[in-house]
Amino acid sequence: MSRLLKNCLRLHLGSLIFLLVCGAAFLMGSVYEIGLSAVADENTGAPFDNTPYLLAMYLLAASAAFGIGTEFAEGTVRSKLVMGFTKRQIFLAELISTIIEAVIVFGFVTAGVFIMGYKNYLELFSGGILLRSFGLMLGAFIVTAAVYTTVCCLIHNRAAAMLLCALICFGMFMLSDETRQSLTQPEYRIVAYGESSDEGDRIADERKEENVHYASGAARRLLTAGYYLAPPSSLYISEKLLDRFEGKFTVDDLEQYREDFKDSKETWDYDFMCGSRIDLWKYPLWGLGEFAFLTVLGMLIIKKRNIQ
Amino acid sequence: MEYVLRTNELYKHYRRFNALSGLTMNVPKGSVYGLVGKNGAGKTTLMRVVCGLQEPSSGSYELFGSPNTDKNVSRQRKRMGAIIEKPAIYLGMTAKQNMKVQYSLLGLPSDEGIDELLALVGLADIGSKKARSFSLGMKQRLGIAVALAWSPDFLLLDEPINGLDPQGIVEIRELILKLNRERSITVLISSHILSELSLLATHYGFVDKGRIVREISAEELAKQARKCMIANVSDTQALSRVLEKLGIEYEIVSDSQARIYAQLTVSKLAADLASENCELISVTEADESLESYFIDLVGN
Repeated sequence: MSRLLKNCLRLHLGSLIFLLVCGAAFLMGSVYEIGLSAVADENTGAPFDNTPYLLAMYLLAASAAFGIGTEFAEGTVRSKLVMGFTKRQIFLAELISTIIEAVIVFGFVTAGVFIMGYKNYLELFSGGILLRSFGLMLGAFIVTAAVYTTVCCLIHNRAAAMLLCALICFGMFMLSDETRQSLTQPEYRIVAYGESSDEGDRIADERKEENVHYASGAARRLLTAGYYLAPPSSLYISEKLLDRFEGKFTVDDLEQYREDFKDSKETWDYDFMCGSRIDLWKYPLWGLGEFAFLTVLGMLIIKKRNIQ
Repeated sequence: MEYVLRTNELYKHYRRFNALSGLTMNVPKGSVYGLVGKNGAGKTTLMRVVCGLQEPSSGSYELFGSPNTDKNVSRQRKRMGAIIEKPAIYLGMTAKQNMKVQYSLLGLPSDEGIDELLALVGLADIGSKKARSFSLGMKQRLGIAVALAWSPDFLLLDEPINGLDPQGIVEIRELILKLNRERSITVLISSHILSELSLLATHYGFVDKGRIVREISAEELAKQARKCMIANVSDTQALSRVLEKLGIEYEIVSDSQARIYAQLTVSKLAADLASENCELISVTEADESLESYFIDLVGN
């Protein structure tokens, strides 16, 4: 297995496409950070933008599709099977190689971001906050790598696999965005209205109305699951965590959010709001479950799939 | 007799299509086994199944005595090399790099032997040319070198001479014969270029519609394919007496049929048989090549 893994790593990391993806990732991270610095406030710096990370996920699709697809296209998977390696071993080697690719690409984006803006990050955020936010994003990359590996083992054509991976990435982004918008709807809306008094004066008042867009019950549980499962959700959470404030933002400061959310418990989904800022352990847990499921699914697919 | 590969009633279904329909064959150790069949007969599917690329729908096979359901069969596959349809080589690497990758996958401690293998297949002086720029013959030869990296005892070659020029065909043929004779490697080679196969094979398996129609050694085939007259008579004993008197080589095939390995005038034969109270029913000339043998076997 170690020989197989070494072989896969050599092929994945030595390919021209991977090197180009790394270069592009670094460039995107740097350029975005430079752009943000241009609109920075001298006290609080500039807000964090997760766009280069999202774009890097798309680029990872190309690297994964060509790294895995080339083996199927050139028939070298066949010789590995003839040599005595099993399909399961081949899948695991490809999965680990793609994950390492994803980690490296993530590293290049982060390097670009930090090189251009390290002062802001280190001055405004504690190590704990940085670990949480970048750790969440790294987790998102790892789960995305698992998705891509499963797709590429199903679709052996490189171009088709790349396209499908990119579409899935877009789909995951839309899922994350749409579910978040639904889940952040308040349960009640305060509606202002006015009515005339007998004296001809206008009296302003307000009333509490149920929000028809608020999802409850099973629908809410489904939306929450979709939100946790979509890797781009972690990118969004990281972006919110790195909203910059005056002074250094630490993990202890996060608890202030819990108090703020308690005050508006009747209007907002308290559990979801806490889960989006404070109780971040749910994201890696869901990610782990998703990763395990994709690994099992991928092994089943490659086992059943006839190798041409 | 020791067999390297034995299959028993192998079936492989693809949705509504049966690629293999109860294929049973035996590849003797040390042979060059020619798998002969039309396009779509099931030759490539058989090789894919034996190599472990696909699972059979039913039936079984044994590789070096290990059944396919045994976990040990993966270990036996290490004694096998294969080229299925096209050689499995990294096009972005040179010949030597391809061999080094193969050696590292096999866990071989050093690169010793790579140069000898490349020289064996005639790719010693290729230098830094990438496999992408190789001719088809060169790719096939590199594929064979890669398959030989782990010194296999059994080599599967799926139509290795397709698309090659005449020189390429000769080179591959000579290489296969060399591997079989000098290294005692058993070779299973499929092809529909029968004239080439007839120069290589020691055994034949004729495949049609997913099953083996006949297995025959090259010796037996040569006997059957000799130029002869096939005579149908009422009394083969009488025919024997006539032919013995004439000193002609013959072979009694059945109660009413014999093969006569000489040119005789029909009228003389009929007259001689009449004197023995034997009727000559029919006489046909037979001059079978491998092609005609195959065509007769599978129809059309």
